[in-house]
Amino acid sequence: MTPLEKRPRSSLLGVFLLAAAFATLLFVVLVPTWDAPWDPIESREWGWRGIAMNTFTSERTRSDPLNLVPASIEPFEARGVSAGEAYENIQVLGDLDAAQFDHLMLSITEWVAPEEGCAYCHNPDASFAADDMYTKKVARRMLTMVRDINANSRHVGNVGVTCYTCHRGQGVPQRHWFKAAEPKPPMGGIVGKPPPWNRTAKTMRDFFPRAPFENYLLDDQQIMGAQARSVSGEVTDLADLENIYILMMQMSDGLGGNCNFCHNSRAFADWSQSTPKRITAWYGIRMTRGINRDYLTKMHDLFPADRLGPLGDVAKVDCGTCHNGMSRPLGGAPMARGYEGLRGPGSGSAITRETAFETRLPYEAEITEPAPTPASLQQGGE
Amino acid sequence: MASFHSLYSQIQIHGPYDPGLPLKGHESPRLIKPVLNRWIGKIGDPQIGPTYLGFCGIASLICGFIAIEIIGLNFWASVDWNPVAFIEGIAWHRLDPPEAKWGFTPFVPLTEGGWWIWAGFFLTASILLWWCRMYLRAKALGMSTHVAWAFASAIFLYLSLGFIRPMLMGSWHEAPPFGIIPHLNWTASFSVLYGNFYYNPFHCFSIVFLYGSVLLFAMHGGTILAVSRFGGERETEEIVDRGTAAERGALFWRWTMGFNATFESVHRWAYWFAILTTFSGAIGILLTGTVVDNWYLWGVKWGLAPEYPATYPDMTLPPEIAEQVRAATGGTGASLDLSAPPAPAPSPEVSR
Repeated sequence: MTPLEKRPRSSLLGVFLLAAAFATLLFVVLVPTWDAPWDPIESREWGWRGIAMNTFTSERTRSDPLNLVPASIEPFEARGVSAGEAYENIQVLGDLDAAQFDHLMLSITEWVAPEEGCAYCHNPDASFAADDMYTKKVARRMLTMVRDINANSRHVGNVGVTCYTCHRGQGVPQRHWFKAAEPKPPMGGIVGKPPPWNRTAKTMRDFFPRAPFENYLLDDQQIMGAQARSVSGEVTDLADLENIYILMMQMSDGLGGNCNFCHNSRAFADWSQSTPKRITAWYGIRMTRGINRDYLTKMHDLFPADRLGPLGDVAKVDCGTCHNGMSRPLGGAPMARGYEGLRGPGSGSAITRETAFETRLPYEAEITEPAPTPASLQQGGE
Repeated sequence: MASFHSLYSQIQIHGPYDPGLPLKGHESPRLIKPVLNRWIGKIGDPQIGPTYLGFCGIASLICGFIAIEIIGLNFWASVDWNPVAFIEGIAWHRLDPPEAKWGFTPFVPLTEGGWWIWAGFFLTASILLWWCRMYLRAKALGMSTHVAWAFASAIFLYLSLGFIRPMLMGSWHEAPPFGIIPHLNWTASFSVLYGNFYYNPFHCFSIVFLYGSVLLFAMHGGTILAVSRFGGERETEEIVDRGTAAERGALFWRWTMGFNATFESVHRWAYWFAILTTFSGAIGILLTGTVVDNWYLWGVKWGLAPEYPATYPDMTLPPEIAEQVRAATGGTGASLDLSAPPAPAPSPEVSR
């Protein structure tokens, strides 16, 4: 037992620990996006008092440049001739007044390709009637889709959608998804489990597995049985349940809402305790499925290879594509108002199918309410 | 007289290090030459080492290493041995238990969950060997084995989740996966599947004991620090030979809440609160799916989940959902309007 020498009071280890602690603190403060205390999350209670049926909104989402309603183009005076008479090769909007047609075309340019202009879809070296650019063929299908949605979808109701609802001034909407590459078992199949997350991810949320999107927003798999002895009487497999959970979290993220926006989280499955928003969301899931399956996937042959995903599939939509973090896209601005060409004939839609019908008026009144007052305790319908 | 600082130890003993009790003949040698470190001394004893592994410790580390290798190599293989992808997806990688079709058989092909069983086996072996080590080291020092039994309570919860409950349910598939985000997803969806753990009374107990442990820890730590100026850190002496520190600590709590633990009993409070956290949690897990398959409905049945007045406007369910609800409620439809849907209305605003 020899006495140790007197050591100096400071040491490299201590300096290193302090530096590491400081660096960690800096990272935590600077890297994530925080909600500032002067720009708080707004909470609104709209269930029975004291059971925390609150929904949350934030000014930051509303003031995101992508969520601002763009200036609209003033309508033109009617020309008295139809677009079909005035122009060649008009396949969808032939009956529309030519002036309204021009107005719509200019608006579409602003909504989808404000920088590229007409040349995004029309070859400047050829006639405007020529179908030689793939973008034009895609745009025509998209126009059909928008007309279908506005005429038939119970999800969008009277608000209506335009190209801008998804595109926000970009050729490809910011939020889209591809199928994740099907992995091959390495080393002759020693391990069989594929990477369920997407290696092409660009953002954090892209990392999440694609199976929930493929199962529920493309294929016809039903979202049910997530709770033992609940509505459908079936219990789903735990693996499917995780997919349902991920889909719901992606919806939540896309809508900028919490679980309580649609569900009473004490009994997720129980419709009698759910908020009316759950019905809108239910139609929304079916509309999204219809968009992906009946429109986007069917346009596969129109797209060049560089627009396709790693598996050669077209970009598809989820809730966040239109909603972009708001419970109502663009704050519920009725952007389709005034665009007669954006509303198609109202029957036989692939999107609505046999399930669609109008929800009741009080509920429509509810969703058209203005943004909630921060931190107030409003009581809905007491 | 020196007193304790609230943030870090102000008093450090630097001198000849303590080599510990002499080893017995059959024991393996101690590892790590002792060093004294002033910074470590601020949060604990400045002496680091020696440590003792022995048979149990070495076997435990080997088993733990094998378990982590199985999990990690499965993660890595799942991205085709791409090191960047391995790091990139570290939070998302997963090693799943066998699918439901395999039941509870231990003979599952490696690629279909067998690796999960092996990883679980070695992890469990590692943990149990570490428990033996805790027990034997306590005995070697002539101590009682309280720490080992507290650890056993945590192991009981771990085994309940990964082994006992899957055995009772007859399926490995009920067990949680390995992986950071996957096991969190499992936790959330498991709670939802079995009708919301919020209404599981043993989950409630577990939370009470967990938060209670935290509270007791703060109360006890605070009390001892506060009376250290009267020598209160000599807790064991004060148990039988109460000095002014013990008296003042006791009086403080009698004044503030009318009752006080003693210098002895407060340690029993903390010990049992900690043990019961995981023990009651394990009971709650074992009852789930075996005895109670929907804790929310259980809560409704026993008056734990009250009914609240409806506050939302009337709503008409989509027809196929209405069908399901009607079937589930035996045709009564509860508080829902199940009348036939009105015909789709045109959208006047869009068509103008």
